[in-house]
Amino acid sequence: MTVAAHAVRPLAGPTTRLPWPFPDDLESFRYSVNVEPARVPRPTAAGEWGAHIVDLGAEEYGAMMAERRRILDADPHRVRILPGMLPACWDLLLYYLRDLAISFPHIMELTEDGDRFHWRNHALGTDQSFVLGDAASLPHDPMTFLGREIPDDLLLVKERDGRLCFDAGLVTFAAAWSVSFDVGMTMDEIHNPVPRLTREGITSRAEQFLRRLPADQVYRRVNWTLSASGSRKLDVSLEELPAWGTDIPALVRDEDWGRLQLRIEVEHFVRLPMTGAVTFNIRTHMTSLDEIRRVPAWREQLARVVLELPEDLATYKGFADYREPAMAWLRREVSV
Amino acid sequence: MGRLRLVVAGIDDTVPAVRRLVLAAPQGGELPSYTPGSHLVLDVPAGAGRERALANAYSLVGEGLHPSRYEIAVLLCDPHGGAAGGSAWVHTLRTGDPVTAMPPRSSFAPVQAATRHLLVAAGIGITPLVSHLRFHARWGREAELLYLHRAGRGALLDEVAELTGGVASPFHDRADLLSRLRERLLDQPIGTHLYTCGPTGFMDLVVSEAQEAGWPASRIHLEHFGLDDLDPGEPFDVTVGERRFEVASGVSLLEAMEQQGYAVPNLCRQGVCGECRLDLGPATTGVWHRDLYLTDDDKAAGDCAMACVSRALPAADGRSHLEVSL
Amino acid sequence: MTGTATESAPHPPHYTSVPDWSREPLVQPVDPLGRVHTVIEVVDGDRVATRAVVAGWLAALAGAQVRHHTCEDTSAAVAALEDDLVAARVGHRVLVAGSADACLAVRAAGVRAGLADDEMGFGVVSVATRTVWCVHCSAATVAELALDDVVACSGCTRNLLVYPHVSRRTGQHLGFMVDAEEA
Repeated sequence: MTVAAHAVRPLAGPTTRLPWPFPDDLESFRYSVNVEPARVPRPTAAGEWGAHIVDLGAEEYGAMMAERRRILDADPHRVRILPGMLPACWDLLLYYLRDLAISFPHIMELTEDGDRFHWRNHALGTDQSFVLGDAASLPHDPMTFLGREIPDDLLLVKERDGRLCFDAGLVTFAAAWSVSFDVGMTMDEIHNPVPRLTREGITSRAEQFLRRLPADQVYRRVNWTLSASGSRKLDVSLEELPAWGTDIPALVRDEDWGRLQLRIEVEHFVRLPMTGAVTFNIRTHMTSLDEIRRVPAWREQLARVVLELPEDLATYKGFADYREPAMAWLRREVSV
Repeated sequence: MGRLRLVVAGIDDTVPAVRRLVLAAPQGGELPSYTPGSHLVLDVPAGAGRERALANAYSLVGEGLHPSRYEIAVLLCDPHGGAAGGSAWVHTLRTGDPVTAMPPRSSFAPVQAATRHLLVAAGIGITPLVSHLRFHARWGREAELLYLHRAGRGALLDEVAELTGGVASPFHDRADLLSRLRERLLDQPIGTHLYTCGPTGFMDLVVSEAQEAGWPASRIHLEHFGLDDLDPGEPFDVTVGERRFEVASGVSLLEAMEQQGYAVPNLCRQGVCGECRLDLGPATTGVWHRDLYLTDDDKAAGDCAMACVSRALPAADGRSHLEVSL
Repeated sequence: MTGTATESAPHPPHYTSVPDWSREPLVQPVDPLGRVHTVIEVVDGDRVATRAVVAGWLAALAGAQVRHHTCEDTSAAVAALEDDLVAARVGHRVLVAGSADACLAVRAAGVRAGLADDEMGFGVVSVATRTVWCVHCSAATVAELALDDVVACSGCTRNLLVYPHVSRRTGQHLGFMVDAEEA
């Protein structure tokens, strides 16, 4: 396809599929339980997203999965499964493989015969037969097997003593938290440092929502921040902090605002049919201010939302110190 | 959430007063999955002695993963004895009859972190525990069942025998079960959870025995489908905006509001699901909550109530009033 | 008894994973509903105060079945607990008296062994010492520390912020590099 020459490159690729986190009319952002039914396509100023639960990332899929597999091989602690959670992990695996085969029939296939399954992923070259519940029939535990097929971070919460507990997870693209440390905690305990989240009762409302989530209903929520890294690097886990900690100070010093990344996390909540465990799966997207600046509607809205955010939330999100110059840059007209 | 259209695909009346009903999609095919301990809420039409349509919850007893059929076991409760008539309607159904239902819901799932499960059932209360047993059998979890039923009236005995390897011999005498229960409550390893389902009085007994044996609340789980009716309560009056009406004894706030033409979202009509929660204004004299949904904090705040089971409590001057804000 | 958890003010949400008794010395009451009680006295700090806490509990449990262990340090306390729990039956309660650091470690052992929160109680006589888990190298550093202090990691020597976030599974505080943003 040929494209007419433009001073500003036309929109293509990931930007057109980006889950822009703000509704058209939104000018200020607060944490809330802003959940909506999943599998509903949502148009944005640059394209559309959200038709399926899993966003494979099209041309980025292969590279993302290579990175995911590299991290999992290097650091086995990125997967944590507490005792008793294996059935829920099988539940998760089956739910997602079935969904993938329906969503992407041209590259993914699942055949079933009672408890026997055959999974083929032609994009990654996976060809695996397995038996539900038989650990020896898979090369990894069921959560890891799934985590090597799709780019989502996988989290399972389960009710225990009347609280929702994060009892299993596979996380390689974490934003400044540690799966290894947080596994086994309640939602309330994990969310402790977010200003306004616990104080305004939002955690408990979210918790009530998840506890009452019916089986076979899928909801999603979009969260965002300015990334702690000045590159597309998804793994800004706490473990790797020494490796990325200097990224932003260097970027701020150089006033290299175009490299600053908006980090968007799409969370999917599914009550799994067999065990009743609930997923809190997170698909992370990154886009630079440079890219956002090419979409006038986004440019203005992001600047307004970021600048309007109260100081405590801006501090929590980590951009209180540089949001003004960064947003001033974003608002500047793109030079022709 | 949409309703499921189902048809009666099978009936088994072998056990007196207990009807096993198999429901399927009209054209066959897969139905929504459900977790162990889930229930199906059937729409029971008005008529044949029923003043209004009912929504009755019945525990699912089959395999919940990608099922092609839903199976329930329903005890016939006598409408002359005060039952609302839902179970009597189930007992009139014939193969091929259409039935609509809300998709399965669960509030009684096995605790995944538990290392062992002690199940105590009475009568038709065996139904959700059979699906627990299925789960434990599939995943190799340790489970032990104590089951009390009247001689000749045991439901699901074949499944129980198969899933427990025949070791869970049922009890026909309450005192026998009780003495065995006392013994077993004292001998469960740390990590065991207790689940009970049956008539309210029976579950109260199980819970009090467990507490007596030192069991903490976090290890005790009940399926709250009471087969017993709630106390009819005293009359009270209600305001909704400018309108004022009375709720008679034996009539729920939900029923009274429906009679007045208000559409209050509702589902279980038993104080479990939380669908019919109403906000209350400051003119409310007091709330007799009776539901199993609101937290203690919610109840203490006194600014909300579940229309299906909650009633007004009188103020010092004897007036009983609820101010409903829609 | 010097006070109970219910007497203290509501906690700021900031500390949702940090038990109140690990921020200020508190003694929780015995649970009279328990059938058998393990009472662990960890004498790693103020022996007199710890003994007084345990004496209060034992008096409240007069007549109940009690297993009382006096342990010199945390690892002995964890071993005593694990030993008791092997044959324990539901109905068992565990009470631990000593430093907050010891109580957190024993609580973690109890959680791993399958105890629920309503089966454990704590009597804390000192909150000075904390164990910090380094998220970068996984080493544990034990020192006299307040929340939000900075400590050098005993494993990788990075300067760690003692974050007000405690793991239920390990009883350790989360520590991460405080000066990672300084180039």
